[in-house]
Amino acid sequence: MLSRKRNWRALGIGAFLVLLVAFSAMLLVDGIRPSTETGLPALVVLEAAAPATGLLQKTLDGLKRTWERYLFLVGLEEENRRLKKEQDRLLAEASRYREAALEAERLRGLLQLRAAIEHSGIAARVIQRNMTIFFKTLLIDKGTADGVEKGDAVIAEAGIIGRVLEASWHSAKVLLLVDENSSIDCLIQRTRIQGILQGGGRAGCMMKYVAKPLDVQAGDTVVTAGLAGRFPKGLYLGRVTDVSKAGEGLFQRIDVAPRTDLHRIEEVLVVQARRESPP
Amino acid sequence: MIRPLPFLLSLLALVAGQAILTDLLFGGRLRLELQVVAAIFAGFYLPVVSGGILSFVLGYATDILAASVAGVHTLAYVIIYLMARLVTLNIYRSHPLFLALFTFLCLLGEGLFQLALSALRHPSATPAILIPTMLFQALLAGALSPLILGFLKSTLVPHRHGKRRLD
Repeated sequence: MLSRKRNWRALGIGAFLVLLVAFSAMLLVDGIRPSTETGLPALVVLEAAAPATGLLQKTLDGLKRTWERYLFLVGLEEENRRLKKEQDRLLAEASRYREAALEAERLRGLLQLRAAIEHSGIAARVIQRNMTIFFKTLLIDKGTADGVEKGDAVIAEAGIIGRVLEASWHSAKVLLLVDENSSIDCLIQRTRIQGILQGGGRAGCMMKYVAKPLDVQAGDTVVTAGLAGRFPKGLYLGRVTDVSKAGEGLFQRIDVAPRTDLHRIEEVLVVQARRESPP
Repeated sequence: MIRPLPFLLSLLALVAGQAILTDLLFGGRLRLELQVVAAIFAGFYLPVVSGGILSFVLGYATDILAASVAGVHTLAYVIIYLMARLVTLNIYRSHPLFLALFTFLCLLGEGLFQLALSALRHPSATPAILIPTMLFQALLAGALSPLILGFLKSTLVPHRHGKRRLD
């Protein structure tokens, strides 16, 4: 009698463990497929974790600033000099671009072209950085209650850094452009060659589907193509660091490095893309 | 019966300690998955059902908060929990060297699983360069695991009849 009861108990435990593994495997298979909706359990986890991670990140950032400002001053003077030089160069460049922008505005007016997409931005603070080997994501402190939607572009000071992957009511998870699961339509600013910028993890990013005969050089700037409407056109993505046409296949291997130091981002802007309906 | 408040506080301390270690010392460029140690703890000391559910919830929460593909950590943590349960049947689980080695192997296994998944989905990426970082992270977490398991055991597992076990 007792041994039968023990057998049933062992069977029950075995069934529970098998179900647990099967359910976890199903979650993985479902997670690999792209989905449009964030499930309720995921929303609850994001929402519950946001206050605690926000407080922790704030404390860590404060400790890091103290360390860097008062204890770790080696190289600060040299960096200051380098930054001043870079600032002068960028001011001159900005002035040239301003002239070009004014000219483009005049030409657009002449041709009576209208801007197809309006943008508004939501400022958010980074409350958690997750830079694991295989996944690169951020948690921010704004969610659907603030107007953030899944798929919205996320910008830092030097350009696009990613898109919103999931959003709960008051927090959101951002998929960084260097994550392997990130793909953004892009183009080379100089030659207007289009491609897809895919994350390459620690290697930065790769621009894919650019045919071998096309002209791409190291140092070229890569910007968003704005084809799908979610990412505004012309925003900075990165700079080409290496081009290789070796090997079989139709396409070049183009390595792209984003300018923003993704380990140090503290504030971001979530860009909401809205399409104007044609007249 | 596990005490819920000490358990939650212990997990919070674990996450905070891990975040401080990686962010301050390594600039966020390394990540220690010390919550894997909690899944191993569940396999060693908790009853089957509650340990299984805890491992599942830990993995799921890690997926939601950090991963860009849901289910990776969930499946990995459940399997690690199962391995820990199998191992406790036969092997003396309190020896620090055994604990460190077991944690190292679990983290290495999890890393290789993620590497294989990444290579299948994105063949053009170069996952091989990630192996040294994976090894270092697994070694570091393995080295810390006897301390963490000892801390969790002393905080959460009551003595009963001279034996520490909750089922």
